[in-house]
Amino acid sequence: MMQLSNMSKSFGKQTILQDVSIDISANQITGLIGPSGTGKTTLIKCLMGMEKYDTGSIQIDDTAVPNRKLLNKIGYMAQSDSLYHDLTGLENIQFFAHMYGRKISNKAVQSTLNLVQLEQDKNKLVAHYSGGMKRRLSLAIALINQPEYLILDEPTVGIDPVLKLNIWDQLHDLKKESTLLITTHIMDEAMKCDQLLLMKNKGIAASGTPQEILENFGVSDIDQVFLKLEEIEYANASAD
Amino acid sequence: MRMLQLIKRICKQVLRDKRTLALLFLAPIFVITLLNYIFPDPDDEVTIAAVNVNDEVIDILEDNDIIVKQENEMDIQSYLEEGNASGVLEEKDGNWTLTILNDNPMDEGPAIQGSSQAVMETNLNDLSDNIDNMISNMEDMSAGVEEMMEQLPPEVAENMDINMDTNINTDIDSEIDMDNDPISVEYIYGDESNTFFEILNPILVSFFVFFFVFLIAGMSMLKERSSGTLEKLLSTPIRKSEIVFGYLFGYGIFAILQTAIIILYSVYILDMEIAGSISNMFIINIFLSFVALGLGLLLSTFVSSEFQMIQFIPLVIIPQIFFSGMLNVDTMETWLQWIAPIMPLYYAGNAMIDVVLKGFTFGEILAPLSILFLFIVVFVTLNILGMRRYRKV
Ligand SMILES: Nc1ncnc2c1ncn2[C@@H]1O[C@H](COP(=O)(O)OP(=O)(O)OP(=O)(O)O)[C@@H](O)[C@H]1O
Ligand SMILES: [Mg+2]
Repeated sequence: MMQLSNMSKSFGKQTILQDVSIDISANQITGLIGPSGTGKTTLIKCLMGMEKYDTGSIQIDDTAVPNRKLLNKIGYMAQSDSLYHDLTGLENIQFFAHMYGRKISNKAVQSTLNLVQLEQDKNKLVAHYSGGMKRRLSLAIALINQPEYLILDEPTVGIDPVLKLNIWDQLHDLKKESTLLITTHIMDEAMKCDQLLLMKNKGIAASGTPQEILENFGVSDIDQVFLKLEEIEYANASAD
Repeated sequence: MRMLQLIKRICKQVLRDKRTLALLFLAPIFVITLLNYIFPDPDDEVTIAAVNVNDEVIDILEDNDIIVKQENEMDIQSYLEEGNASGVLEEKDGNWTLTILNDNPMDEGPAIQGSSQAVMETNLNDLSDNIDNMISNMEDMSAGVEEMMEQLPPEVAENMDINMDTNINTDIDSEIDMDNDPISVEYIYGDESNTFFEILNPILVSFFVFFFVFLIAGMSMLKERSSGTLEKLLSTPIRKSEIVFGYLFGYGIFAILQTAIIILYSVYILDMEIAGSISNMFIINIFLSFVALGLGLLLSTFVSSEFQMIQFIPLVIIPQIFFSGMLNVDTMETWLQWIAPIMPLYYAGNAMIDVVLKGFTFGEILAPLSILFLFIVVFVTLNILGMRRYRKV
């Protein structure tokens, strides 16, 4: 269970998140969506304890964030690829696996590589990987320690449609043991989430299952929800 | 455990990067070799052209291993510009003149020294000849006085009570021994005059250890930061101290190897003479390399590109050379004397001189070593604190 209550975060004078309260329920895929620059990545970094938040509280499994030991339970995939280009794909996976301090079997490494279809290229230097291959390797690294919590910041950017479907199937499989938080800009991916959090204007503008949200706003797809939100905002502004 | 894996990864990366390896091991050897041959050998001969100079002076010059070319009146400047000699020595009406171009102190220094010594010696020879003459005159005189006394009536002679010491010591060794140098120089450390390179070499060894380790540690940490892998690393449960120590020991392995190669090369291939023990040289430089590692890692926090890292070199690295024992800090301006103690190379360079030239023992270099250790502790602490930028715990 991940819990944010009344959390605020600003960079200097610019407030990014204001009084955000979220419950992320266990064994579900929660999608965090919203326009670019609203603070999705910032929220994730606060959740992991990598960024300091100003007020409010964040708890994971009743432990207050930041806490180094909590990171044992979290698999994280950053928005930008963070890989050692002078090591091979396999060496990257093995290195990060060791960082979790647990013995991770060769079999687990193999099956993770199979999942992201990098088995063939595991001995290539990452410098020679394509953009999508790097993304897949990053995903594999996030999965390697079979974490209780999986936080994926735009995991499927640059991954082809067939593999993307494949990965989403796997993510739904992972729900049995893990709780997932995923950011995305792709609306049909959003529809695949169990829960959605729509971010706008420094906070959560709407939340619920995708179906609930569509019904509440009386629209047929998620993109239109954001347009609706703009309209409401505009109406409120002119009413003032 | 995590730290060990980090060290393993660093080793793998460095070994794969052929350019970094070359920079670590070949570059310092290349530069030290170059410097060894650039500084002239003190035994190299100096040529002086002599105009109107008497044979005695020329003999003395030649005795001192100076090549003398006897020339007639000429245009001195063009003669020197053509590189015929390092200086032109002339005598005119008892005045001696040595003309030099004043553009090459390495050769002109010995030329000035050699000719003034030769002129001084001839003057001394003249002086001793004069003394000889004076003494023989005095002998003649006293012989005359004695003769006179004998001719005087005895009572007059007694009354005069002249206590003539007729035994003027004519054995005075009026021959000043010209085979010896006019000044004999006693060396407290070592037994012959140190060339500039001999003083410079131990400092250079330390400087290269410092410089290359600083550069490589700083650059690789910078790469780790800018590629996002440091942030990724900090999203795992690794301790910040494990990262800093992993880096310190990972690159420390290469720093130690580099130190060993530079020292062994200087001592065994370039024949650097060391009065103290080689193991003390190792200890000093290994301490210094860890200071450089800490400083490199720390400064990489404040830069965002490799170019900015390079900009630190004239700011942080170059000034340290001046305080590393090449120049005497005690005679510098007061404010400079205050700066010296904050420079790691000040301690390492002077300790190296103490060991290499003065043969100091481990006990005698304990003080600078402790200060270097203090630097390491401070830099490591600051590095661990600096990681807070990426993770709060
Ligand atoms: N370290 C920082 N210092 C100052 N401002 C920052 C910092 N990090 C993020 N911001 C600002 O915070 C805001 C939110 O950034 P964030 O990366 O969280 O957006 P995002 O929702 O993840 O966007 P995207 O969908 O494009 O990834 C942006 O305006 C950004 O400029
Ligand atoms: Mg983002």
